[in-house]
Amino acid sequence: MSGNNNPIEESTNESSKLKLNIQAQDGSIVCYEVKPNTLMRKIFEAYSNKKQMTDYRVFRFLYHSKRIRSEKTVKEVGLKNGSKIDAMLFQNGGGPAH
Amino acid sequence: MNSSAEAMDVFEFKAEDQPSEIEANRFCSKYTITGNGALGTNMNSKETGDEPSVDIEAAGSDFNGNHALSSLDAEGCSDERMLRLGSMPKITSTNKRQYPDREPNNRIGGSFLEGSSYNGTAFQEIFSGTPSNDESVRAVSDVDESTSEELASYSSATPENHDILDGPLSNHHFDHWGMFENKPIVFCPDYLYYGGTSYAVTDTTVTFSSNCVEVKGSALNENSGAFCIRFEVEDIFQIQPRLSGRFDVAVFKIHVNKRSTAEGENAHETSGIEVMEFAVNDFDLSEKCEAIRSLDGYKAVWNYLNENEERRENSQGETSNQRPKKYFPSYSEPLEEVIYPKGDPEAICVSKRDFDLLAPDTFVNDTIIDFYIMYLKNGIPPEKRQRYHFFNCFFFRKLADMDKDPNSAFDGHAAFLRVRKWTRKVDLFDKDFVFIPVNYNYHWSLIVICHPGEVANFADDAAASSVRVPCILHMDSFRGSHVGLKDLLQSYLWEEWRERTKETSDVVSSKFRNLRFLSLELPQQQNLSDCGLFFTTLRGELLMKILLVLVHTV
Repeated sequence: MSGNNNPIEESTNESSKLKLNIQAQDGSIVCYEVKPNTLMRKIFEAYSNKKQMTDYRVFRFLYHSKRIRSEKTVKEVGLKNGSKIDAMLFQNGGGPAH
Repeated sequence: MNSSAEAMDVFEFKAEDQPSEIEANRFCSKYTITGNGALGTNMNSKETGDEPSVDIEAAGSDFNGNHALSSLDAEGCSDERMLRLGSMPKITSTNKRQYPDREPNNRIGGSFLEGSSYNGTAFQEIFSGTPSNDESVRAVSDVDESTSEELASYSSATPENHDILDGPLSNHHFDHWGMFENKPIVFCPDYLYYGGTSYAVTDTTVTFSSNCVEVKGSALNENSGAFCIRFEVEDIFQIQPRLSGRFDVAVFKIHVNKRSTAEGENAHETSGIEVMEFAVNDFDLSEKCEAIRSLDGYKAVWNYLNENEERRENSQGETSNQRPKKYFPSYSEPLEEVIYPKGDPEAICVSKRDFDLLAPDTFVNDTIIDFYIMYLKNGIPPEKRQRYHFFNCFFFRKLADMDKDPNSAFDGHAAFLRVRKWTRKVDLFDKDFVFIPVNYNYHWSLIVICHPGEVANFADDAAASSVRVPCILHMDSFRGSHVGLKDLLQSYLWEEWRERTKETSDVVSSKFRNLRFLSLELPQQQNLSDCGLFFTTLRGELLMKILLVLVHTV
């Protein structure tokens, strides 16, 4: 089984798939079915495309308040079926804007 | 030209020993008493330590145009110089330390130093008479073989330079034994920028006297020999010294109204404003600056360049695109990303574009802040680490959910539910300090909750005696920009407490709602972009203090 295939469209092995919920800051949830050895970056990119963002790095994806690194796989992050990921927009600051 | 530069050193010996043979003997005896060896070694360490820093300073300073080139030159030259002679300017300054009243005798000091590897009798020899001079110089320099052939040309070059140097040296020799008052002030710059060209110089003097500024000497650059530049005081309209306290280094920038009467080979016949810059390394820098200011006519044009002005100047000028270079070293390998700490599941990945946010006048993002939190956390000894809890940048964003409904953003219970999972594995009330970075309105500030576990048991009258006073500290470098945090945090803590202990008593509830909330008096940022940096420093400082207290109390 190759992890390089697009996990969202390909469904070769139904049983090993798990569902991930990505929640935006406004509360809206997007659900993805992924394989355990899918790279997180693939999911991030798919999500960003859906949110019409050209670069997934505008988001910080958090699982249990920890940042998820894009080079990890679903399994490495420890995501389980039904896990919820927070997609937070990046923050910056320097001076207050009024 | 190298040869002419060296020639001056040769000449100096002559200049000194002719007028004051007795003086020299007196000097010698003093030196032998103080111990030449000690002085010599002292010199060497000074030299290796300070010389590079001068060059760095110079490279970072706001010379423009062919400056990069010139600093390279300067570096090369100084290295060469180090090998050959030992650095003249440095030697003289230390000598001054020892004999403050002999300030103008820099040159004597120089020659001494050169001879300092010799014993007392060698000194005697140097100063005893003219014929032995060439011998002794040769002896010193012969240590380094590569310079011996240059030496051959020194003696022939000497006559030409004689006139130039004779003036200032013989004048200075007896003119000011005492303080600087109303006397010319002499600097020996390491290099010079004038007329669009930078010169690395070794034995040039810049003399500030009551009616003019005079630059005499010779450059080491190709095709430029001895020169003499003179600015009348009334032509000078600004002198900008930039002092660096750390290394006794200064860069002076002199703006002059150009006159066609300027003498010297290097003078450019253009009317308008001329700029001359020179860098010096001098132990008596601030005293000398004061002395110059006390001379007639200088005070009005004296203008310390402070950081803000420099900033403004840079942002207007064409040098602005080079500014980041002043702050960052250039890396030979392209920086892709840094994972810190390596191997940690919670490691922060700082990429090149995050790194770029550290440039001046740039907002820092959450990655930088989180990295810094991680960095500080790792600096705490592991056994003490569990006393603190550091939330990342998104805790507050989750807690005060301003994206959904601004009106209910600060509602305690709803806030608690949103971050419920964040604290499932941590007991905040077990911690001594809880750190929460706050970001909204494009501004960073910091909340520190101190001893949250004490709230329920804490009696107000115990505040004076207890060291564990529960409170919330808010640190904001732009006060008034983050308001409304008080109620939110108080009620959040209460909700958290209720979840943990299932306690619902009104007494405890009111204790949480009346938890002290202190906005700290802090240095305030002067611009609209630095809060992230204030943020990081603040946290660092506070942590340091906390750790200090812990060290003392544990």
